[in-house]
Amino acid sequence: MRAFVIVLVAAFSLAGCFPPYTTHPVGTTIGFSNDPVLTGTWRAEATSADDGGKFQYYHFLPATNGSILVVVVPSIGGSSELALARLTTVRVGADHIMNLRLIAGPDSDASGQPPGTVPLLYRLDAKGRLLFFTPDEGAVKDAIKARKIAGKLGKNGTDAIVITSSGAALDKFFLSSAGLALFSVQQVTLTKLN
Amino acid sequence: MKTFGLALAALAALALSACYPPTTTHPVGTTVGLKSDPALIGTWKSGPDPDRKPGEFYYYHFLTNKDGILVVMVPSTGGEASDVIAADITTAQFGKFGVMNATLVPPPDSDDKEPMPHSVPILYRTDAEGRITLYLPDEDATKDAIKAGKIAGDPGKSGTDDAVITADGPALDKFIASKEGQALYTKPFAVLTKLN
Repeated sequence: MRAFVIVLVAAFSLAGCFPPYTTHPVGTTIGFSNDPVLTGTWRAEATSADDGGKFQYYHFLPATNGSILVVVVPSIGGSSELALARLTTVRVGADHIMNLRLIAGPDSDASGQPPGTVPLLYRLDAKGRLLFFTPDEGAVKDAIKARKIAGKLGKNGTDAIVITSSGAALDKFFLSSAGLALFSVQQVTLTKLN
Repeated sequence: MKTFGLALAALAALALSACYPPTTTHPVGTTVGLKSDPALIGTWKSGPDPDRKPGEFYYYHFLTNKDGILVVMVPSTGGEASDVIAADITTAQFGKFGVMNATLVPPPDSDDKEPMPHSVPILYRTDAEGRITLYLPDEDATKDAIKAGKIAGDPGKSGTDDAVITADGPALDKFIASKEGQALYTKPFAVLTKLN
């Protein structure tokens, strides 16, 4: 499994299974703002020697409607590897959470996603690199089963987990230490190019 | 024509012009073979753009697709989501130069769903250092060529209308390969340096 976040979500989409979604974005009670730290171009290092030095460019571009467009392009390859997503960001203490949803590209289809967005936590490390974390699926399932958060587990092992809490309840949960602890799966490290 | 305005903004120099680049109703290269030039595939950066701040440039990502090549142009910094441009291209080789037939596709931030009906014939040359220089046909020179009957087309109703070359494939290729055809390409609008 490729460890590039947006590409990962796109790969899930192609496979018909998805990472945990939320029907409401995280941060409605705090307020969204385009995080200027993201703006520009980043590169994700190849995670496998098999990639032959190939990597992904992540272009983050602010949009006039308050969201951010992210264009993920392979350094070399086919158009099927191009991924596009729209996201909103919210600050959560020292970290940030982005709410991401794939959008259709010139050669890609984003239909079939569950309604809502994928919550991703990100932070800068001491070297200025951007680290991304996704919620641990097992931990999200446990939280839903324990009724710590409202959601649907899906009919089988491949269906998406969808957190259905209202915006206020979602923020209260994800902004708690227990909620933030769900983001335990580091997916990718990006290095700023310009 | 907003899409073309965006393209011109991205493609730099002609942004100061009120004109749009000429298009062709048939692709250039049907008689010499429309192929995907493998030398293009990968990521390139454009040279300095006088309309952008120092250090800002465009990334050109040339990606293979089932119909040829998809090129995605993304500003390095200082750009917005609406500045992203994508075009399907086919290429043809004419000795020392090549021609890209670029058909803009709706950008992610657009409500448009249909690609543009015609393609823009972009001439490109590779220099000894591996850089690629791109040229758009000059609007006025193209209109003059159409009016003079050197190539079939519609010069537009007024000075600001777009020129559309309607010649069929063989006539178009013969014209582009001639000195008169190449004379349409007077000024480069971008010089690309390969990154990977």
